[in-house]
Amino acid sequence: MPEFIQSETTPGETIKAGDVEITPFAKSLIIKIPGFAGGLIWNRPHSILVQSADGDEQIYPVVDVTRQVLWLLTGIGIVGILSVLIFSKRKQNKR
Amino acid sequence: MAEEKNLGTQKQMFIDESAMEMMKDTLGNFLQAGNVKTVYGEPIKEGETLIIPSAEVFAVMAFGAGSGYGKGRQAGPEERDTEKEADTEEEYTGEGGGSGGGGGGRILSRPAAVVIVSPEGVRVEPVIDITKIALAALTASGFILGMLFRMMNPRRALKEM
Repeated sequence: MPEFIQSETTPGETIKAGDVEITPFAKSLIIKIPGFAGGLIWNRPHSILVQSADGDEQIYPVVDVTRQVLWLLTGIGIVGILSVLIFSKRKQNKR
Repeated sequence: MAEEKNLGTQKQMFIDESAMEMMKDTLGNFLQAGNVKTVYGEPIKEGETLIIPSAEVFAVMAFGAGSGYGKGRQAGPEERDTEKEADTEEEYTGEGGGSGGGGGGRILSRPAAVVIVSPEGVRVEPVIDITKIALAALTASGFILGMLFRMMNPRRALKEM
């Protein structure tokens, strides 16, 4: 990965709730354009690590349903527009 | 003369350094958006249930600064309105400098999910933004329908052009 793009998963502070300990993890993407003052940061929840009193560890992924649906709709939109364009070109060629 | 030049360079360096310090401070604050604390909120305890909200954070920022320093001829009262150039180096008695900077940025945050810890166990409930999804669906279907309409009625589309 280029130096100006950083992607990392960082743990947060452990939270104790009853018998379990929860450690949240966040995934961040930092883009700093060289020679340019500024940048872009995309930070999102990644997963949580649950440690029970008996030592069991479980990882729960944090799924962002809204983002997944938005990507799906973007994909459908692009595919839809491309297929309409291809069909219209074919139709024109037949004429 | 050399001393004056040095003074000018020092002034410019001071302006540049102060602008750079300001930029570094602002960039430092901006980079805080990449911290895990901005994603997970403070846990909320309700009876035996603990709720941890989480959000997606998107931050974008850009800024710039510049400075300049120059010397010129000090105009007398009768010459104030005329921009007369100096004939000799000694006539360059006036000096001045300035600096400026600006920037802009935006931080967007959207709830992503909620972590619920109860005596029954731990579960992660997604937060679904219906409005955002509906708007995206309408935009995508609008584009596709618009393209289909143009494809079905090519003559009308040509007339419009």
